[in-house]
Amino acid sequence: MTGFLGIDLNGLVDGIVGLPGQTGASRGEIPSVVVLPLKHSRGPLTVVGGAEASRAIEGRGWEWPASACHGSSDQGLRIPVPEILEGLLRGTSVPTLHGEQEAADLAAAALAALETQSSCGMSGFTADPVLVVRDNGRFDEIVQQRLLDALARRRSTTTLLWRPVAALLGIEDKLAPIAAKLDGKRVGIVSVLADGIDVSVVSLERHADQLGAYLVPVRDRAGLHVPFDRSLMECAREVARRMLPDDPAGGWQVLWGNGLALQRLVGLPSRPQLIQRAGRWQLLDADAVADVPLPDLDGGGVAQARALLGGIRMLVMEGPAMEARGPDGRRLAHRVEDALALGRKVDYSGWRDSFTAATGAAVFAQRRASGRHTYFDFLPQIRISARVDGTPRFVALIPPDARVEGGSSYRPPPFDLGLTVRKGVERLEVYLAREGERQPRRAVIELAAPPDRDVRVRLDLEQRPAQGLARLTLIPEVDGEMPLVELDWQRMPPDPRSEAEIVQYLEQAGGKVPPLIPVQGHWGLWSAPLIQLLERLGARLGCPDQDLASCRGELNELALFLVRRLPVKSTAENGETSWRTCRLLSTEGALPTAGGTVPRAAELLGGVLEGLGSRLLDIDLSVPGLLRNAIVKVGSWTFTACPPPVREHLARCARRGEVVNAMLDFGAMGRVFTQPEEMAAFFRLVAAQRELKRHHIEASLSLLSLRYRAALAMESTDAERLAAGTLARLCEYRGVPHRRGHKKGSGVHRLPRSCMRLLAGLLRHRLRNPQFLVPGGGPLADRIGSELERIRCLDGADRRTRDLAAGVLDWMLERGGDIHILDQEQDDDLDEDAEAEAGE
Amino acid sequence: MTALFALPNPWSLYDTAGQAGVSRQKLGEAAVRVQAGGALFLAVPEGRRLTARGRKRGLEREGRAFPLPGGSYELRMVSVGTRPEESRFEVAGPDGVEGAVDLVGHLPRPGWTAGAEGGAPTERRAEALDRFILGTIERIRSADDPALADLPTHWARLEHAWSQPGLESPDPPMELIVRQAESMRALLAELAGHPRRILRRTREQMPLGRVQQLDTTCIRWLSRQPGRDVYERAGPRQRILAVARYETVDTLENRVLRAFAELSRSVARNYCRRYDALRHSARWRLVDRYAAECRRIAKDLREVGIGLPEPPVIPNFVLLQEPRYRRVWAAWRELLRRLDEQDEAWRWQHRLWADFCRLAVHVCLRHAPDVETVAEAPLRIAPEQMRGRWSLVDGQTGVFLAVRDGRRFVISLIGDMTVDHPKIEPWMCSLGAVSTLHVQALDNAAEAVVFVWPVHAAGSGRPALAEQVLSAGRALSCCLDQVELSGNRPRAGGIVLLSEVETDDHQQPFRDERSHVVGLSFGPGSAALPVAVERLPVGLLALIGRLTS
Repeated sequence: MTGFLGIDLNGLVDGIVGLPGQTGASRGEIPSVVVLPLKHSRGPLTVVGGAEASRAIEGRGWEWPASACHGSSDQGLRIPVPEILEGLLRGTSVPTLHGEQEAADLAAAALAALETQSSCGMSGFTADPVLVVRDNGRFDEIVQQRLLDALARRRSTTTLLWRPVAALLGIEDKLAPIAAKLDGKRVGIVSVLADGIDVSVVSLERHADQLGAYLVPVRDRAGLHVPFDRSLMECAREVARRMLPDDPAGGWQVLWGNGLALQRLVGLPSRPQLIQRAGRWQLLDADAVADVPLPDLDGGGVAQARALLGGIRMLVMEGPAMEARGPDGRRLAHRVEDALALGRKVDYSGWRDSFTAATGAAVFAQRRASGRHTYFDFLPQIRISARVDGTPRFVALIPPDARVEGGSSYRPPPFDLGLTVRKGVERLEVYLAREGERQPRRAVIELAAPPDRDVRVRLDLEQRPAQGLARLTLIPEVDGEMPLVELDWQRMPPDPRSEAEIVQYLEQAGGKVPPLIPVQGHWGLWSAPLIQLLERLGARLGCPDQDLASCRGELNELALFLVRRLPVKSTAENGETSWRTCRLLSTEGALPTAGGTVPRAAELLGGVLEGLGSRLLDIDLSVPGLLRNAIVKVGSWTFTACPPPVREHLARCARRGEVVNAMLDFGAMGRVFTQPEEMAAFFRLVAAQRELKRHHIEASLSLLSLRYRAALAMESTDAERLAAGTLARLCEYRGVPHRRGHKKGSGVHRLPRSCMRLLAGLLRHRLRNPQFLVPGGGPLADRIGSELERIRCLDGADRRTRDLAAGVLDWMLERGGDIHILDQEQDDDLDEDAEAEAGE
Repeated sequence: MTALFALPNPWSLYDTAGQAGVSRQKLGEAAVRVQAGGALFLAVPEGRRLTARGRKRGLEREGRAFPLPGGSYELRMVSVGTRPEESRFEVAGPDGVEGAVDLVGHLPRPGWTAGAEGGAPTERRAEALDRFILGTIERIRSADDPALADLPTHWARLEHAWSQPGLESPDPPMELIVRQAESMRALLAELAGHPRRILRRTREQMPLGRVQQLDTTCIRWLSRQPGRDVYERAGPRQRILAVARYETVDTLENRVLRAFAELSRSVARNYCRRYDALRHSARWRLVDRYAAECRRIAKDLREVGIGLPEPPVIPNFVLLQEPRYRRVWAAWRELLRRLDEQDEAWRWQHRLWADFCRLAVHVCLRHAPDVETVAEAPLRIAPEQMRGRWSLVDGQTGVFLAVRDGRRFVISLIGDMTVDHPKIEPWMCSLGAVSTLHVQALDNAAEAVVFVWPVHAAGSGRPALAEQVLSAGRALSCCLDQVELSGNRPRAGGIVLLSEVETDDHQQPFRDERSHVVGLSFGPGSAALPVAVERLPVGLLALIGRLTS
């Protein structure tokens, strides 16, 4: 016999329905408990659930027999199902007589017990049982996975099904005659449960097969939960307290022992009101207890529910708590309807005795076996950190309109995100973000055998709706090049950073290339003389009578202010302190964000730059001269805030390959250019130099360390020529034989350091060409490698230079390293030079 | 040395009236003659190492230990013999034989060993007992009946199955042999027609011209022969040792096939004999035909030179992996296991009846209209019998609230006397009851106990219910007298449940007014059981009312 089993474990009145033939066969009994055996040695705990458990003697709280003891204490034999369900949601354990038991494991044991009980221990039910789970946002994939793992440990193959879908499937017979009317319409489902109501909206689609037309629910959004101000369990506790005011143990008996309190509340015909107190039997008079008022719905939640239920064609109400009655005799279902005030006829087919949800779960299994559509579900979004066109970001793996049939898995063809595992890499770092999870998670995967060549990998995704977490696997494009790597969400530790912070981090240290070194502005440099200067200059520039040439002194003075640096101490969250350099303006041309603000600063500076810009229209900057130099200096040291005429002039120079003042203009270009074509022209110009001078090298380094797109804009040939030119200058370096009295910071080491920093900067070109300067990839890379190795061991080099060589080598070998390697300000003497340059 | 007693009934320790059928008898040098009426118990000092010589797995402890003037005693049940010679057994301790028992009216199991055609004389009563045992097991296992899966608990399924008057089936029951007759016929015929053959290799002297294969042993042999070349070494007969290959069917798998055919034949014949009354049914004819086919197949296999497997049979690759022989191997094992089970069921038929009574009392109480079930322990049916017992229950199986004549009683049914229970005092264990009902009246808080005594006759005779009830009453009174010496006289009664092996066994209920013991006879038959389920609680509640008044 093929049977289909649907289980609704809700903790109030559990339902178990077997199809075919047992439609409506209820197994739900109050109280809903599981019962543990008195004696348990080891191995997985076997429990009794369902009707057998609620009738069992174990843990009743009586004085005899032995198994009936262990009642109301924390370490009992009789565990209320609501406690287990709460523990399952929280991932906690439940205290029992046999020690702490994982709530998920107890839930799985209870399900296994129900399954065995329903199948009479025979192989009667051949299909997998289906368990109804709540669709209120709390029973998320983590919880699902927790339960499914516990079930798998007990070799159970239970499938999970959303409650609103189950409710609709449970009344499919009733909906069949009006299927045509409901096609494409939205239907609201309100599940009245012990702790509140779950509200969901599901669309219906009409499908047909040889047996006729039928409706298929389409779930396209999650439901929401509206809590009661106090749960039905608390009301039942109140009933128990009224029955036995002075006796908590007796109260426990009427609550969880024989469930008198709940039976009375929910309106079930109660069993004999017999309890045992002090070893003697005693009959209770339950009718003498006044009725306890029923709970009310939370006001804010009701508004949300009403908004969700707008535009529905029909409302179905179901749930085990519908029939609870208060002192006024009104049923809880009607009170909920009044509270929602939808002004719409409600379908009450889901009265408790019909076990709609459990029936629907069995119908789901039946439909799945017969090849009919069951329901359609949306999938929660998953995003993975990946580099797209060289930019690290989180890539969404599930298309927004993806829907998948319940019970089947969603498995798109493996994603090609352009991921490559480099040769010799020993560990991978992956970040995942999921819908509904606040924090992304991070996995560092140790590769057992580092691949001996670059391996392109694809990402395989498999997800079953409502059946736990998605499975993500990294698979090599060519089989066997690398073992499969599975990304297990649950084993990945959460990362406290936000996604944006992670992306930023990946752009920097996590990448395969040295990160950019943007410089921030600081108000500390905005002194009173500067403000006065700005005021003065602004006034003069704003006055058309004033000749621009007469402003040259002030311009040079302003340039000195712009060049000035301020070391600032910063303390990270983990307590590490570091020093960073700040300037008047950030390298993005923006005013500072740190330190106390200076009023009118933006206005004054803006006025000066605007005035300068407007006065430049009638000045030819291609004519050499001190005024021109001053203008270029001021413009370029404002970085991207540079007045457009200056910038256009510099761009024109770069394109034409003619510079007016080589020392000044290259540096200015390195600070100002932001557009790819400008930068490409700049690099072409630099690469065309017969011999790279220091200003070429430092300007290139500046551009590469400031602008993300610089390395991408650079042509490969230019990059190679630049690298070759830099190498040629580096080869000249012999160091200084160590001798007493030699001045520290002598300019001897400066050029090689800049060369090495530029080589590190050129590694950023790997964002465009991943093979660029990869050791073993070409003679140039090998020559650079051996040269750096030479300097690393060079006696005549000072320690910092040797360390720098080692750092660049690390970056070349993709071992990561010093993330400040492109920061040329680390070379002390640069400051003086910049000031000298500004003062010229 | 402390005395040992043979008890023809569980309560007989206190029945010293000297009646051979029901009273206790002291074991001594001379063999004791005991009527094979009910279950035979031995009352022995606690922990004494004893065996019943001449019985396989002869003694099984029942209940807990209890004090007697001679020390702490316990009851042990003696198994029923399956063979004719088991009518006598000796009780042996570490120091030698301590007594012997001769059973009067001992019945061996019909066809007690498979294949021993006509070994033991079979009797109609023994056939009926066999049917009774199988019927009882079937009744107990109805708690696991998938057809009743919509009932929430095992107890509910039992209640439903036992309280519905069923129709007498026109077919004999569905047993393993019937299933095999349906499923294995074609396979057996096919395998017997073409049994699997192998080439067996042996080394023997062969003429040089016919040698096809030499192995290292042959070459070693050849090298030891005198001569300069092969022809000289082959000697005057020109033969050398070489590998010869013969085709044979006498393989392990074919031997198992033959053993299976012979066993099936014997089991099928027994089945047909047992249900001879239903010989016109299709099922009976199917099994009969199957028996004939198995006989022919076994004969054919024997004639082509296939022997019988020698135990222990360790399955070879073919038996485990070849699809057709694998089925034969599984079916043979299943049949052997089933035979063993049936032998075991026969041996422990008293425990089986006791188990049935234990369940019956609970089922009757939950079925009675005036009784409400407050709580009941989960019931599980074991996949295999445990010396006749099938049910797995806690010590206390249920709590019921009964109403009779406006009075309310709480009945706690203690179904298993082997488990500690605060309401079971040591003296209660000496009465050998299988279950005890603890009763408390809610109006006057009076407490009482009712013992449940199953009585089943495994011998050729039929015990009289009245005689049993009177004996039990005598024993109970005697026991209560002794308890009274050390305090109050407890309120106690008993109920004797006598098995109806055949419909002719039915006897009218009997009540011993003096001692509060009632007797009822019933059986697992589809006619008798529903009536008993209706009638038992009536008698029981009346007894309870009298006890607590």
